Amino acid sequence: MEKKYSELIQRLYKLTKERKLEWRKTSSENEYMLELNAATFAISKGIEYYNNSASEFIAVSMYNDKNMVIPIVSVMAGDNEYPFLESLYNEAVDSCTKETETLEKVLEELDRLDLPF
Amino acid sequence: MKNLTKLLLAIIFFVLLGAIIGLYYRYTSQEQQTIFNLATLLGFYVSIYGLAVALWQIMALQNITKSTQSAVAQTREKVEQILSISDIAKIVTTIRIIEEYINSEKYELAKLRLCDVKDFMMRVEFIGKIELDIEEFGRLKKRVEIDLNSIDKQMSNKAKLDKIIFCQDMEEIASMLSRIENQLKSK
Repeated sequence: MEKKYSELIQRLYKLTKERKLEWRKTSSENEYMLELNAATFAISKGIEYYNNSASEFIAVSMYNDKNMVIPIVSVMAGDNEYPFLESLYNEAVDSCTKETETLEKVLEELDRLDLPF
Repeated sequence: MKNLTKLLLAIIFFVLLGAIIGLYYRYTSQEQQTIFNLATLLGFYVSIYGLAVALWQIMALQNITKSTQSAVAQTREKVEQILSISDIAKIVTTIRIIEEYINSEKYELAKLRLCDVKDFMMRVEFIGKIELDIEEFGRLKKRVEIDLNSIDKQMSNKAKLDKIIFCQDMEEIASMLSRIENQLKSK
């Protein structure tokens, strides 16, 4: 991954984890997008078939003001950067579904209901 | 030139002519009251008067031209506005057709029509006198691009298309375009 993109991905991960960025589902399976004023990012997970073998991949692309798609990074399972991008993907999913946040709230509510008074 | 104006100019001409002739005979000495001096004076007067009338005519013509140009520009604007409203209405209908195609899994047709929507959205920003939330519009343009990619992935069996989210995106775009249409209609 190019250095300029590496820094970008790091920042996206950090801000997503801090819930300062909210991703949403696109109309494509296993793809999420982040809409900023300057650009829209899309992260997708899929399976690539190559030489009779299947391998998972994660790709991040950017849509600029001119509606041009700029590929940022695409990594296959087994690449060094794959685990980090998988974390970003999972955070994007969580940001969209708010699963963690919802579970925490549910547990808080259950704790309150479970009080003896 | 109106008849009244012509009459007025003629009256002023003869009144001033009379005044000049009167002044000529009153203030010129007997020796200098020759036909040649009178002809020179009258010739000079007619020239100046003619020049003044010509200049006045030119200025009046310029004003008419400006008014005409302004009226033509206003008419052109109105015609463009009407055409824009018609174009927007057509595209909103196209969007609903695209949703139908997606629900019936006619992806190739949906893609073709979505390209039309994309082209139209590129032109919308150039329609005059509309208040557009540029950032929101930019986001929706990118959404169209992403949806086109989603259709491609569905057609090449790389990833399934989420019809509900796709149609939600289309409805957001249709809503924005309808708002622009109403803006133009109210002008």
